Amino acid sequence: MENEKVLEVIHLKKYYTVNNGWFSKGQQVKAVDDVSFSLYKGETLGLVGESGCGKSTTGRTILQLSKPTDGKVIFEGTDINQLNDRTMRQLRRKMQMIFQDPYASLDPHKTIQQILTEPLNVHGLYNKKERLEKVREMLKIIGLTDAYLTRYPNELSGGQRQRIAIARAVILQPTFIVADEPVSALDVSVQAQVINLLMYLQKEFQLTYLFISHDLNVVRHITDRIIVMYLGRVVEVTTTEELFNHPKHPYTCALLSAIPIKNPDEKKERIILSGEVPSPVNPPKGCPFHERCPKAMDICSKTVPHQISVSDGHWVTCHLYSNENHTTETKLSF
Amino acid sequence: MKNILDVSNLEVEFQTRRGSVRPLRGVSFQVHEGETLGIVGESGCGKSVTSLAVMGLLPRGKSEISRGQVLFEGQNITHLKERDKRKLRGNKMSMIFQEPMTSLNPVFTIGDQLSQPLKKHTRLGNKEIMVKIIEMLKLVGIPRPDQIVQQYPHQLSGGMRQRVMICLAIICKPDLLIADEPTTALDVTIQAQIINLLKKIKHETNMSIIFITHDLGVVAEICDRVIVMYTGQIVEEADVRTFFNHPKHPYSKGLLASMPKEDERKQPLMTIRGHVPSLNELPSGCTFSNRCPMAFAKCHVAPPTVHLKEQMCRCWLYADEQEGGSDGK
Repeated sequence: MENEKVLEVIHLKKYYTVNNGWFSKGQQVKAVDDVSFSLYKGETLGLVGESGCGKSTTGRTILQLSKPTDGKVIFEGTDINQLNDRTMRQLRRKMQMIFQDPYASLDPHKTIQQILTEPLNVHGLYNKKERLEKVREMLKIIGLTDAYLTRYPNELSGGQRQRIAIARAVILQPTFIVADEPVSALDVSVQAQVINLLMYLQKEFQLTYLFISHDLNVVRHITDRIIVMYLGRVVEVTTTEELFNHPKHPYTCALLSAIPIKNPDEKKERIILSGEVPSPVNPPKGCPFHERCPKAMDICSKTVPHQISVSDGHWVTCHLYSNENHTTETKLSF
Repeated sequence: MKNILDVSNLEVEFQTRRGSVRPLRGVSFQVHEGETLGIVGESGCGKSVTSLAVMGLLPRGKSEISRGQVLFEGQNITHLKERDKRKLRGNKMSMIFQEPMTSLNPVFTIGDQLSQPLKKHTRLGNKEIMVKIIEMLKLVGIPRPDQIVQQYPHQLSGGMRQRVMICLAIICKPDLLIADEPTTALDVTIQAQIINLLKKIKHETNMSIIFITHDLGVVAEICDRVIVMYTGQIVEEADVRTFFNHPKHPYSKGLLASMPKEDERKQPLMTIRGHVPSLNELPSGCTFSNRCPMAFAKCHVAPPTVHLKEQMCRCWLYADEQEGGSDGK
């Protein structure tokens, strides 16, 4: 892994206030609660967890699509929370996003050419002729012909639309892309095509991905490192191989054991978790996972665990590992 | 083994503004007593239409069963009157849908909704109904059932709602349960819980299940036999082990190969080129021929249904390996 940091997220927090009617006092939802990590050039970092764990909010908050409540996001050395709107807009060229649903993320009234030219117009790149040239080139890269220039999104299949959405993000030659469940809405055979395209583009343009997904098979295939989140908090961070071979946090273990088998002959030990993810409005005290944790101890319901390094680059937020001889307490250096 | 369901040569026609299309083009299969049959395929392959046709839930006026028949426990239910269909649905056969929020009625309590099939199909009194409901809610693993019956669907989480849906579907002890993508909208840990629950129910009641999904991992978990559908036809049918270990049809092979493998991380995945054609632009002959890596001259003609030793497959590649006579068209 190259050591050039593209992005650094420090103690990122995003709280929402929910109102349950006129007279009740607003309650706070800690959608993202003290999340810190770094992204290195050219890597794919996976962000996994179940719905409501805050993975999408993390992605959106990093891109300033919603303002963080607290914490810093440092992109190529600049703290982007401090930037004014104009500079931020210029910086957006370097950081792009791909959304889950290609049916909702493309404007149905625009042709493919208009959709792909728009980001170039917004950022005032190239002249008119060069823009068209650029769009054609991009279409070729994603495997569509020039005939698609005049088509509208509704004439395209789901996979083709997602290719267009990817092309729209990549055409600005960004360094960093947040891909939020980019293949979840696609059919199995098309999913593989789009994954291949993402991997190809990454090599071709040295892209850095934050890959948000709940599909662990896909995440295992495409990522270099993985962050596991639960109820707005990071529970485990490590390389993909380490995570799948030596998961440490009881939640990670349960999550991995829930992946369906690949072949009926495969035998798999299942850890079936009881209950479901608790509401983030009223998270359990102490470790947010303790109510469902098969290995919960007394301390878990009382104190929030700290992030602990169990081996080089492998961090776990769990009391199980706190009394061993590990260097305790994080200083954001994973 | 006794057949619970026998579908033969089923064709369904939809009327659209651009003329009629046929989402099902001659589908035949059986479901045996106590088995779980998986129907796999991508969107638009006809797997949901098949289940709606079996349940008699196709939208009236816009669609019809144009050919073929559905036998349920020996009774021809293809063109049954609505009144008679109602006697079967929720009683002898029932269905679980993908999205538990949209398939439960938001203005009735869980207890109200669960009592409906019992009021309709049994002669139980109100008290007995309540006892039965609580007993069934316990069976599907719902904690505090006596409180849950008073609650409305929006007060429950996704996994809980799906349990209520399953409870609703099995409360009259049907012989056939159709589950249409029951775990697709759920998280993996909840999916594992629901699959375990369905396995348990099947084990305890000997119910036959049709399990419709696009997720091959789920098929490996729960199914005994698999049908692969493509553009409204069955292209392969095999028991689950044969399907995963020796798939025959190029489409089945493609589907299995495009699953990410553990030992090939970061490598380009195998893909099936192109995309599923829409129903009004199907290629002539074999409808998979324009995406098939093995396509050859013969594929311009509709392929025969080939019965091999272990499986059935609709492909010209195996036309010479036919076991016994041919029944291809």
